[in-house]
Amino acid sequence: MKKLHSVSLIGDLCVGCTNCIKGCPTQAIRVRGGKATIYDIRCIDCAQCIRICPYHAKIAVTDTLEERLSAASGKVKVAIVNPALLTQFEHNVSRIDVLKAVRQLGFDYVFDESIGYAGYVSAARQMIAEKQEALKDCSDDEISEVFPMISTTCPVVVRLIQMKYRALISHLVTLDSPMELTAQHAIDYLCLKLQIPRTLIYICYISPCPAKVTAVINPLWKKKSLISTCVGIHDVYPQLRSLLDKVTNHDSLTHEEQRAIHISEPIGLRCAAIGGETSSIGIENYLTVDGIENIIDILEEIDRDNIKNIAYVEATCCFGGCIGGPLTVMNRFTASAKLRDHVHDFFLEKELFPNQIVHEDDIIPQVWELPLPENHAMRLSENIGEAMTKYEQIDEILSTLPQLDCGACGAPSCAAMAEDIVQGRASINNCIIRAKRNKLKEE
Amino acid sequence: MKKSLSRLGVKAEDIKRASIAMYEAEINAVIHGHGGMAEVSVFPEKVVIVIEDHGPGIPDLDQAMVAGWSTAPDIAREMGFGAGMGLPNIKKNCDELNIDTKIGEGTKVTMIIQFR
Repeated sequence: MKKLHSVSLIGDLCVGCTNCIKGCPTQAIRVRGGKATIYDIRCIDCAQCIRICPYHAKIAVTDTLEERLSAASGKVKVAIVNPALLTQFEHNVSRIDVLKAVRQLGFDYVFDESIGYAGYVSAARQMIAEKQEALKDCSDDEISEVFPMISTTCPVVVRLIQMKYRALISHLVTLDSPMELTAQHAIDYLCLKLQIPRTLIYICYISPCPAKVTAVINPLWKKKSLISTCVGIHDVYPQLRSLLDKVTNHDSLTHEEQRAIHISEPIGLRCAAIGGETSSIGIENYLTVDGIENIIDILEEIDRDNIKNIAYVEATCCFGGCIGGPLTVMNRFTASAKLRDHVHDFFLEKELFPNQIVHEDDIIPQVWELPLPENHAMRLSENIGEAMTKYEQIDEILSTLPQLDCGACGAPSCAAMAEDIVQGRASINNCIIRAKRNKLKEE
Repeated sequence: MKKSLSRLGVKAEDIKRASIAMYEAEINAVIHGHGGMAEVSVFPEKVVIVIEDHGPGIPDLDQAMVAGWSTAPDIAREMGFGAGMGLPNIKKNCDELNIDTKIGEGTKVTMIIQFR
């Protein structure tokens, strides 16, 4: 079966402890036969398990760069760099320095993903204004079907809504993601500039998180991603470090580099940290939320119609935004300070490298190719009658379980265990507390 | 209730209608009826919600159904309730609404939401 997600398990490292099952916000993990297993259909790539696992047995599957680039020989090799990468180095390393080093990894062209973010925020700004205008004379109920609009730049948020808050799908900003917008821009630019067909362009995305890798492998609202492959920031970090040590000329670019490197204005760059998107959109009545548990709280509130007078919700699964991604190297606090430096240094970049800058108006916003399908991974059965029978069985079994939620059976809670038993995924004998109690009774 | 309906595979729109209706009726029972009991029964094609209180009852039901009409005390209004939209909102979100009320004895609100 095709693997749907990029979070995976190294079996040898997993000791079968229960840390990950407890931390998973969608209860997608069970320990079976002494090893953790992930129910693909319930995984939203939030990477909580990667952060929690004390044995580093959970990893994000990305491809190794060398293999991929050699497989793409004869093609024009393009890197799209998540702006979080730009924040991973010392204070004297500029954005251009990092992109120069990325090019030296073996790419012909390097595009900063901030370009796509700039396109996204300017299109989102317009979309908010249009919807506000269209709903101007409508009832509160009609307004609350659409507002607050919810950002779709973090794929985890979209997957969470798709599965657990399906009534909020109508709130999502239906724009293609910044990485796809950047890829589209790169393709349009290169096809025109080099007069080559699209098939000769090979795009590699340097990702801060497994969720964006999954969005490439298994896109949410389009048939196929424009991106060919992904690597994690931490996969290329050591090599970039040594390349950056060799950079001597900070203030100019070779002819080759001038051709290759493309950056955005601050409007896109800021989006790597939480709050950047809303400040770039430039609206006042917004809300920002980071961390998956906090996002769940806010989505509950929106679902209950308790959030009024908010036009836009910027939500990122990782604390701090993409700079807090699980595949980054630096802590998010120094990364956030570094990002501010980069934004501040734009006035220098504008002087030194005016030809490298892509303006927000040059990005053509794309809307979703396909409507977002609902994910029914949480329902008990396709048939409501059968679901009701199962529901009753679950209640019955649950009443015989100890309700300690100890996790020793491999399920995160007794309720999850009761459901697993009814769904034929576990046996009641796996409950050691119950077995012990029964044994004591016999004696 | 929301979580249960979702696990049963009820559509998001139907869950939303049921939860709005139930929420409004609960608020009414708390503000006017001094609290009460809620009973939710799920059938393959519908959900039936019954909220019953032993409060003062509704003297003029037709008047109570008018949008904006409210007898909520100031303390409820200060908390953002009591705008007179509760019953109209319930009516809008259910397929069948039955209000059985007796002065001095209490009110029983039965709401049926058919799955669409």
